[in-house]
Amino acid sequence: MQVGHAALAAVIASYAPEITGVTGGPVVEAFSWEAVIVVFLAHFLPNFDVVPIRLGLAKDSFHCTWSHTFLFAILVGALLLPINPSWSFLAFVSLILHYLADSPSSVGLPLLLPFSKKRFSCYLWADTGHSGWFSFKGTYMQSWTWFLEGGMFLVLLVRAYQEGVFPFA
Amino acid sequence: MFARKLTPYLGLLFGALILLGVWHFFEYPERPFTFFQLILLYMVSVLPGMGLAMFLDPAPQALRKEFLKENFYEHPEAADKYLKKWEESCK
Repeated sequence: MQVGHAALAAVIASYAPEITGVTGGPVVEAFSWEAVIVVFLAHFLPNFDVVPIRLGLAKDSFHCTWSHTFLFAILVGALLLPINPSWSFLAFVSLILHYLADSPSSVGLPLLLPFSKKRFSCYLWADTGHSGWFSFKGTYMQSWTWFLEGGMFLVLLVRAYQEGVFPFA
Repeated sequence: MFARKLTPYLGLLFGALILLGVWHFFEYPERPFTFFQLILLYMVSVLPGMGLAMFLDPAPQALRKEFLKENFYEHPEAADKYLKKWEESCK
């Protein structure tokens, strides 16, 4: 998933009260700045593995490896836990949903690293790389990406309507 | 991108059907959608609608199968081959 990650992150932010409500900590309001910042940072964090690739410090195959594992999600959640338990759980859920959104891609995610190198994928669309024009164009020449990512933007609009925020205020 | 000229029009049609579904299932009677909100919902509904239409078009399916044979992480140079091919087809 590429552009659809933004819609998914906003949808997660819309469910912030329900997600943070289970922690017993402070409840984060739907679509609040707090929810949006925590969710977007956590949700996009795994894709920052492109930075060392762009800097020439890692190979292209480094993308979708360590940052796309349960261990990484647990570590991020554990780091945020002493600061704010609600942020911790919100970030953990955002990371897990990032992995779920990436699971249809053919590259597969090694979710169980370092215990297993097995990559998990539903193979709904062929992965065409981590960044660049070819990656973007190649992704959006396939039907599943339009269906799922476009569908996610529609879900976002429905959530905006249900919560009564712009453009449904 | 498409093998059939009908595909984009089918996408628009499927988008309208998705909009009708959203309108029927999610609208609150006390807070009906305005005309401009419906236009916005339709524009976004066309995105998954286009995906549905592309399922019926052989070209995107064939391209997916072709891409699945390549590993663009292990062999990034494979991308250049396709970019060149697309550039030539545009000329």
